Amino acid sequence: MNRRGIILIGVLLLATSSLLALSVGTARIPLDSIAGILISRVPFIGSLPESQPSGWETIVMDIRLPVVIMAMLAGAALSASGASLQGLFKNPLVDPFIIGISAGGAFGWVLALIVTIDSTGWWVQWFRASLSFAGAITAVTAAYLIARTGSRVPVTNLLLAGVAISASLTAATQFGIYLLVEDPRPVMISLLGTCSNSRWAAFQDMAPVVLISLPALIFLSRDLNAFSMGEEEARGVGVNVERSKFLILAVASLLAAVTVPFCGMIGFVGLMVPHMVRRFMGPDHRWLIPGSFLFGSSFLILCDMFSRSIMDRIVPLGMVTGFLGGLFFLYLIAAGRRSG
Amino acid sequence: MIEVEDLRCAYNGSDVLKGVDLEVEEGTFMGLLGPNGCGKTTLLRCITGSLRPRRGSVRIMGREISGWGRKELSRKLSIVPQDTSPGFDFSVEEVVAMGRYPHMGRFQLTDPDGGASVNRALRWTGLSELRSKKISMLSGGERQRAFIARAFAQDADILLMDEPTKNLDIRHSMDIMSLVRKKNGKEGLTILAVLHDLDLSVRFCDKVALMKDGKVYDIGPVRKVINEDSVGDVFDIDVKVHRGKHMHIEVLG
Repeated sequence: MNRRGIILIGVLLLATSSLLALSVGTARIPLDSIAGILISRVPFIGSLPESQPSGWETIVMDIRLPVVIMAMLAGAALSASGASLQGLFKNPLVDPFIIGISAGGAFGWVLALIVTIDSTGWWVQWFRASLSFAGAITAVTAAYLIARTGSRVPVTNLLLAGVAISASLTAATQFGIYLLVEDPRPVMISLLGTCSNSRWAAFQDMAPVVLISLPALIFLSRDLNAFSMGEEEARGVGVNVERSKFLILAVASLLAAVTVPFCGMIGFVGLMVPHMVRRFMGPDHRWLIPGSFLFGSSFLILCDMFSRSIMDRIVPLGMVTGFLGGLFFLYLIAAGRRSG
Repeated sequence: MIEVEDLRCAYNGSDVLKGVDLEVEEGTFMGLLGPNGCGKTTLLRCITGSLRPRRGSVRIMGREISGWGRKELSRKLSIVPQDTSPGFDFSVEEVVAMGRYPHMGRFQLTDPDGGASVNRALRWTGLSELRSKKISMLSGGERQRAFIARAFAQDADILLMDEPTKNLDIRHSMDIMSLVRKKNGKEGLTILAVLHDLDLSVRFCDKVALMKDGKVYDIGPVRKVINEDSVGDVFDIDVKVHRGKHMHIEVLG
C-alpha cells in the first residue's frame, strides 16, 4: 500500500477512535447522539435532537471532548518527539524519557508547582509550563554537554548521560513532592500521567505549541534522514551537524515538555508509535514525522479510552502506556536478538 | 584541489598530526597509506572539516576550509566514511537520493531535478536493478557501492573515502577500486582515499602519500614512492617489491 493510502487510513482511524472515546465513560452515550451533538455545534445547519437526556451535551462537549483532544495532542507530541529523537540518534530504542527530557520537564514543573502552590491567575499555568520546558531543555543540554568529547557528541554517551540524569531528576522530583507539598497524593497521581483533568483552557495553551512544532520537524526531516546514516554522512551531504542537532533537540524537548504540565509523564508512546509507523511507511522522516503525529494521536486516544473503561474508576493513562510499552520493549529486544 | 599545509591536529590532548603537508591535484586518484594510528583518518576528517586543526591550513579549491559553508562545500566534496551503518532500513534509492540534499533549498522537501543524477549514480555503480531493495538485504559489496552511489549523486568534484574496501573480499575490493578509478578516468573526479591494501593501491592509484607517525613520509607517483626502503621503513617490515605489469609487494617478515 502506498503512503498516501496509509495517511488516509490514519485520518479515518483518528475520526473513529475520537467518536468511540466520546461515547465511552461512566455514562455510555450512543454514537448517533454524539454525532447529533457535534453537528449541532456546526453553525447554521445544526439543531439538537430533542429525545436525549439533558446532561449528555454537557458531558460530551465540556468533559469528554477536552479530554479526547488533549489525548490527541499529547499522543501526537510524544510520538513526533520520539520519532525525531530516534532519527537523530539513529536508534529505534530512544524516546523522550530515555534521554532525560521528561524527567527534566517533570522536575521543572514540580519546582514551579511548589513555588506557586497558593497562587492563582492566568500566569500560573504559563509559569509552570515554561519551567517544565526549561527543565526539559536543561536536562537534555546537560546530557549533551556531559556526553561531548572534543567537537563530537557520541550517541552512546548521550544515552548513558540521559539515563543517569533521568534517575537523579526523578528522585529529586519525588523528594520535592514528598517533603514540600502538603498533600502529595494529587500531584503524584497527576505525574502518573492522565488526560482526564483536561479542560478547554489547557487545550488553548497546548495546541499552538504542538501545531507549530509539526512543520518545524517536517522541515528538519531531511536532516533527520541524513542523521539516520550517521553523523559523518550527515556532514558529508551538507548538514550543519551541530546546529541541526540543537534544533531537533529543542523541538523534541518542547514537544515532550509541553505534555508534562497538562498530562503528567506518559511513557513509551514516543517509543512505540514511530516504530509501528516506520513498519508501514518506511524510515523516510518526511513521511514518518507526519505519520507519527497522526497515528500517535489515535493511539493515545485509544489508550485513554481504555484507561477510562477497564475499571469502575479511571486508571492513570501512564500506567496503561507503561505496561504496553514495557511489553513492547521486551518484544523489540527479543526481535533484535533473533535478527542478530 | 586539496592543499594541506603544516597541519597539526590534537586528539585527546596530544598531537596526532604533527605538521602534514599534502597536495592533491585536480583529476588525481591519490591513495593515503600508512600503519594503524598514523593519522590517516584524522587527516581525512580535517579535510572534511569535521575536525578543527590546532594549527596549519586546509584549502579546498583554493579557499580555506573554514571559509566554506557546509552545504556549499558538500556540492564540491563528497565523502564515503568508514563503516557506514544506517540506523533504519532505507531502500537503495532512498540512500542514493540523500546525495541530492546539498542541491536542495532549505524548505524544499523533494528534489524534482535530482532524478537524473540519482539514476546516473545507480547506473555507474550497477545498482539500477536493486534500487528498491532494502539496504539490509544487500551484500557487503553492494552496500558499499550504494554509499559510493550516494556520493556520486552529489555531483561533486572531489571524493574522499576512508578504507572503502574494508571487510570486503578481494573480488569486491577490485570491483570498488575499478569503479572509482573509472569515474576518475572518465569524468576527472579527484579522489583521496585511505587504503590499507598495498597491492590494490599501487594498482589503481596515480599517486600515493605514505604517512608515518603523524607526518607525510613521502608523496608522489606510485612507482617512485613505493620501494623496499620506504615501505619497509613506514610499516616496519621487510618487503620485496616486484615491478611487473602490476606491482606486487611481497612481505618477507
